[in-house]
Amino acid sequence: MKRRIIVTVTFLAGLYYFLVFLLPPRIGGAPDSAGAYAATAARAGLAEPEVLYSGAREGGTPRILRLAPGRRPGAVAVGPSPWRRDDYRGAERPQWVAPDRLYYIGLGWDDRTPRVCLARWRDGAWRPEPRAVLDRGEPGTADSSGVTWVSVLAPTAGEQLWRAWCVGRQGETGRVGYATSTDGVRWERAALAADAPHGGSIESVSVWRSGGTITGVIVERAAAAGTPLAVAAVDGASGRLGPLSAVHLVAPSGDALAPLQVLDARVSEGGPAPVYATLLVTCTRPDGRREVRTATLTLGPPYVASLAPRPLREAGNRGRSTLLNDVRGRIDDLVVVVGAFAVGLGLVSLAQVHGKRVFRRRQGWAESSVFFVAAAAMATTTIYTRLRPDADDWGSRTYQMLFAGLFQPLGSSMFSLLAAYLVSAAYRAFRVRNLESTLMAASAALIMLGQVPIGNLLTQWLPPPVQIPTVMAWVLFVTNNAVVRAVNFGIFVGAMATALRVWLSLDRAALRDVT
Amino acid sequence: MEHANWTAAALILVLCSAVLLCIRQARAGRPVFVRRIAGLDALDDSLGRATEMGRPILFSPGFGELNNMSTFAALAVLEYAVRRAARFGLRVLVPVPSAPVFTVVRDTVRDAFASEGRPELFASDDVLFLSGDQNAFAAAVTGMMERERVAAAFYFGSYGFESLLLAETGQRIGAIQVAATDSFFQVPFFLTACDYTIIGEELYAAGAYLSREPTLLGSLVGQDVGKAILAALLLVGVASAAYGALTGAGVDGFHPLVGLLGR
Repeated sequence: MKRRIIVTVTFLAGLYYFLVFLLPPRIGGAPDSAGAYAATAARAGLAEPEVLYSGAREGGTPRILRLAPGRRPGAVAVGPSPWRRDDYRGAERPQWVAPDRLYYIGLGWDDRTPRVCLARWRDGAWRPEPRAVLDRGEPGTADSSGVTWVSVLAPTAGEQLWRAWCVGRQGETGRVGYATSTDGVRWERAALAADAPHGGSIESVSVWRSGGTITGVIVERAAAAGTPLAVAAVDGASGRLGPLSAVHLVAPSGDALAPLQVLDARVSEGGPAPVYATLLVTCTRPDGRREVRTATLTLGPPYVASLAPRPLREAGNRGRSTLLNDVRGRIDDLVVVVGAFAVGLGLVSLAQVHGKRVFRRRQGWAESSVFFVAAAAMATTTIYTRLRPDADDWGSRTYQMLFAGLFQPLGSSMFSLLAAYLVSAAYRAFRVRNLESTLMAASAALIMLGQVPIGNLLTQWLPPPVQIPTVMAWVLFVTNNAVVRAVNFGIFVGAMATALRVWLSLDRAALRDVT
Repeated sequence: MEHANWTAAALILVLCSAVLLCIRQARAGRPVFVRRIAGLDALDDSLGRATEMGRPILFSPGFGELNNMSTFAALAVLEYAVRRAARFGLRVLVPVPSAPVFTVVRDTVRDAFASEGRPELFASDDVLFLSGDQNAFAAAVTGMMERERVAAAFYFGSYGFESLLLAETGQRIGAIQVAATDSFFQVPFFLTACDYTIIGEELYAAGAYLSREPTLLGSLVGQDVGKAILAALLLVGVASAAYGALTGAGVDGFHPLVGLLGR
C-alpha cells in the first residue's frame, strides 16, 4: 500500500511538471493578449486607413497586427519567420511610409538582437525583405546592442534623400541616431541626433514634417521623475534634434491609468491647427499590460498632449488558462515544506550521532559536544537578529562574531587549501608518461602561454594563424567546446532517461530485484 | 519557467518514446551489449581490497539535490556498492550534504543491507547528514577519511570545488578512488587525483552496467537511440549552415532549415 502511494504521488508530481513544461500557460486567446503597443497609421492598398500595431501572446513572440474598420482586429500583417534571420524571434514597432513601405524592428535569430527591417506592400500583403536594412552598430558605438525604434522620412518632391531617426541601444541606454539613404534600403549612419535629456534612456522618436520644418517627439524613460514626452525642432541638414520642450500629458477624467505611464509615441498625422499632431501612444494599464491610445498634441509652448478617453486597442482576450501555472506557486511551496521536514530529519540525525557519542563518552565526545554548543549559539543569535534586524547590541555583535568572524574565515581557510591541492594535482597531471598525458601537458602549456604576454612575444614573428594566442583560442574555443557539447548531449539524454525511470517508478523496483 | 516550443516538445516526446520502447524490448528478453567501463569494473576490486585491509569504504553521492538526475544515478551505484559491501561485511561511510537526499540515502543503504540478509551491518552513524556548505562539508568528509583511513572512496554525482579537496585527501591516504560526475569542470580534478574517472553520461550508465537489470539496460539502449537522433539533427544543422555559408544564403551560421528546427 505504501509503495503504491509513493508510485502514484511520484507519477502525479512528475506528470504535473512535465505538462507545465510542455503546455503553454494559456490556450487560445488573441494574438495581442499580452498587450498592444507601438502603433502606426497605414493606408497601403486600402481605401480606408488602418492601424498597424505590435502585439504578442504571453510568453510569445511579438507580431505586427492589423486594426482596420469593419475587420476583426489581430490579423497578422508581419510575423516572425523561421526562414528569415533578422526577424526570426519577432517583428514589432512598425512605421508605415507612403505609399508601400513598412519599416519595423525585427528581433534576430542571434539572441533577439533588434534591427531595422523593411516590408513592402505587394499583391495585397506585406512582404518582408530577406535581410535587415539597418544592422546594429560596431562594438562601442551608441547602437552596438541594436536598434529598437525607427522613424523614417521619405524624400519630398525633387529630393533624393531618405532620412531615418533611430533609437540605438548601448546596453540599456537608448539614444537617437541619424542615418541617410538614397533609396531607403542602404543606409549610412551620421552623427548622434539626441541624447536623453534627463540622463535616462530614450525609448522612441517620431519625426514629421510640419509646414517647411521637421519636428520630432521623443519619449524618455527618465532617471528622475518627470514627463516622458518632449518635442524638438529638427535640423534638416544634420538631423540633430534641437532643445527639447516638455509636453504636459493630460489624462481624461476618471481614467483608470494611474499613475500614467507612457512607453512610446508615434505621430500618425500632422495638424490641422490648433492640433499640432495626432499621436499614437502606448500606455500601461494598472495590471502591467499595454494598450494603444490616440492623443492630440496642441501647439505650444506649453505643449499639451491630451489622451483619448478610450483605448484604440487594448490587450486582447487572454484565452483559457490550463490551470497548471495558476497552482504552480502552491505546488512549489509544498515541495519547500516537504524539504523543510527533511532538513529537520537531517538535523535530528546529526544530533543523534553526536548525542550518542557524548552520552556514551565515546572517542571524540568532546568534539561532538562542540556541535551542540555551536548549533545552540548560531540558532539563538540568528533568530535574535532576524527578530531585531536593526538592533546593535550583544545579540547582533555575537552573531557577527560567530558568522563573519569565525564561520566565514574557517570556510575561507578550507577553500584556500585548493591552491596547494591544485599544484599537487597539476604536478601529477603534467608528468609525461604516455601519449595521452603528453597531449594533455602540451595543451595545458599552450593554453597557459596563450593567456600571458610572453606567449605573444615568443611567436609574434610568425604568421598570425600559427601564433600561440591564435592556436590557443582555436584549441580552447573550437576543439574544447566541441568536446564539452558532446559530453553535454550525452548528459542530457542520460538525465532524461533517468528522470523518465524515476517518474514511472521503474528504477528502484528494478534494483531491488538484483541478485 | 520556460515552456517548450513545438520542436522541443516533439523532440522530448520522441526521445522518451525511444527510451520506453527499448526498455520494453529489453524486458522481453532482447540481448543488450554493454561495452566495458574500466572504472566500474574497478568497483569490485576496490571492495575486495578494503576487505583485505579491514578498513571501511566511503561513498559520496555528490552535492546534487533530488531534482538533479545525477543524484539518482549515484543512488543506483550506492545500492550496488552497499550490497557488495554487505557480502564482505564492510562498513560503508556515506556523507551527505543535503537533508532531503539524506533521507533517501539512509533508506537506500538500510534496504540494501537488509536485502542481502545483513541488516545488523547498517549503522546509522555511518550515514551522515553533514552540511550544505561546501567548505564545511569538505572539512567534515576529509576529516572522516583521515580518521577512518578509508581503503576506497567513490565519488558519484554532481560536485563543485570540493571535488579536489576530497580526491586529494583520498590520494594522500592511499585510498583507491573511483569518481563519476556530470559536473564538467570538476572532471580534470578527478582525473588527476583519482584512479578511475567516469565522465558525463557514463555516470547514467553505471546502474545498468553494474546490475545488468533489463529495465536499466533497455534504458541505456534508449539513451543511445536518443543520442543517434540528436547526432542526426546536428549533422543536418551543420550541413545546412555550412551550405548556407558557402552559397551566401545564410549568415552567421543561420540557414532556414536551422531556423525551422529552432521553432
